[in-house]
Amino acid sequence: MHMADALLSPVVGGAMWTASAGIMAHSGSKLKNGIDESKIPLMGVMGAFVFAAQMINFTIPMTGSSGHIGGGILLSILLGPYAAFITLASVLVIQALFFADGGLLALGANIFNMGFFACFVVYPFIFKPMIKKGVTDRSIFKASMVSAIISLQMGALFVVLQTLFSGKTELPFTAFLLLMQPIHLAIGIGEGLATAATAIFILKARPQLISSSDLEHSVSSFSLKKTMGILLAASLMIGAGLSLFASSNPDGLEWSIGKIMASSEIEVEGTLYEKADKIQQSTSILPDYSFKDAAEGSAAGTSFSGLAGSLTTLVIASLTGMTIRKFKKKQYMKKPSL
Amino acid sequence: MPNITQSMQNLRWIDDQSEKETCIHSINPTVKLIVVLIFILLLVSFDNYSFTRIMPLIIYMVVISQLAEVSLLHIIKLSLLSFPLIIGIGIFNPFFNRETAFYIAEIPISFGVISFATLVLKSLLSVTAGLLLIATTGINRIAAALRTLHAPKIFVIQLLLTYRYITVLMEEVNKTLTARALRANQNKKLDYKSFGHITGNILLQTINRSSRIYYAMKLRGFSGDFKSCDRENITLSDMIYLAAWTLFFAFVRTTNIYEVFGSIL
Repeated sequence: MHMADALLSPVVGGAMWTASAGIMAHSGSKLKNGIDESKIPLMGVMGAFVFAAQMINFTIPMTGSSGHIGGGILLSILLGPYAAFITLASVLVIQALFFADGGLLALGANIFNMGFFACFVVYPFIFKPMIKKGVTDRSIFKASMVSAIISLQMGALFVVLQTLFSGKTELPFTAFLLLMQPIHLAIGIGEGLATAATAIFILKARPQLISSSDLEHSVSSFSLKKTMGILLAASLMIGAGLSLFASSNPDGLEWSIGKIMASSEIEVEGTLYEKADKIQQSTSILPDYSFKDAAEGSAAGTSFSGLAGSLTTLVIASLTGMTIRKFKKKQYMKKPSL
Repeated sequence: MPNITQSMQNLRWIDDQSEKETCIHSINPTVKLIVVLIFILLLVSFDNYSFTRIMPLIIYMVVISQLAEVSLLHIIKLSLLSFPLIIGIGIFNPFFNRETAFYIAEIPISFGVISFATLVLKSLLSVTAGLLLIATTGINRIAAALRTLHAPKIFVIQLLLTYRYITVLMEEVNKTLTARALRANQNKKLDYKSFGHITGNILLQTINRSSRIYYAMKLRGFSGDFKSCDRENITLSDMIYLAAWTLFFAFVRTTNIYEVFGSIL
């Protein structure tokens, strides 16, 4: 499931963009050194394949629901994790731009949720060890199922965390988790079955594609610890930088802390915190804009002016549109016909 | 995800729109991309109850779509595809936050309802902004903008190649599924047993296709880079476009327009 712009705050969205851009740059540099030139068109058409193959749904027996391939695991098997990550990212960009799946700000989160876990966590640490003893139908089936389910669960957990840290839902953490994880378990099973069926077919029809890729694509040089460290540092920097510009309403981390601790702020003492707080208050460019606060003051007055103002805005937007259209029509009329 | 025919139609429609020659289409793609990113960042920076504060941003949509001669209604129709997640998550807001914010003709409106409405409006505006960007720019110029912003070369090549082959492969999938449906008698739904054979076969065809593409590219002088992404210079009109929208966005962010209008009325 794709994360949406509206569910993200600028801080969380920016942090996820930085994280995904970092992994992309890392994957790009890895491929630059070691990629076989002939693989470039393969990556391109494989991206298109994932996109098109997601439209082939099969019915899961006795459930009435359907499943299709996800892409991350299958691409990692055939292309290796670095090329798979970049290919999946390009598919997600196209889905965001042309199919309204997610959004531009949410792209970072989507690439991270769907690409990072599948290519750099699940594939090297779950899929590969599971088929280490022998590439057979059985091992591929088991590994595909477990990998798809775990990567979907990780992705869903991150959607929950990103939404909660952005403060865009009133749902409590546990309720949100109980809503998202089971849905993604069902999707994961469907995706696992689909990935397994495709991979087993390839194993039978052209086994060298799977066995050679498995030997070839080593992620031993990929340091999870190092990457996580860089990502954490980058996220903190972006978070700290952007929060100066963000509203001081209880949103994001503060909001979720508020939900957990029944208080919107962690109480800290000390001169350093007080000074930092003063600096933060004086440098915040965007002031406090809480409709809630305004409503608490004079709800009736605000609601009337709000309604009247909204209607006027809509009228102005429509009038602007109509004026531009009229102006354009006039211009066409003036143009001499050929 | 819509069905294959619908997806292909949507792709072609957006491609057709991006071929138009209007003042919006002629703006530098990097500038347009930056303006859209500022728009989305500004949009999501509003809090959960800012429904009325966000409304003036509709003006951006209307102006861009009218100047670019792109049907805003069609764009909105396309953007509705992103709604299931938003509605799935946001629908709980009215149940979890029942505190009354104000009354409209004695009907109480809770903060939960306002936050849900805000979420839907935010989603609509952000997705529409993205779709308008691609419909007025096209994938090739977006790729050029990404190169200007130092996106990895290999990623930009992937983006262009994937896009180029999406329609080809969707047609292939469509053909295969139609052939199966014609031979499947009453068995309309694809079962698991056939699924692996169908996707596997298409995958093998895809891999074979990629080697043919590679040889064709090599014969035409491919050396690891696409030469189609020419960089466009930034002109005065691009600067004016950027400045005008930035000023408008700053105005919307710092001024309670609805209160100003409301108090006048």
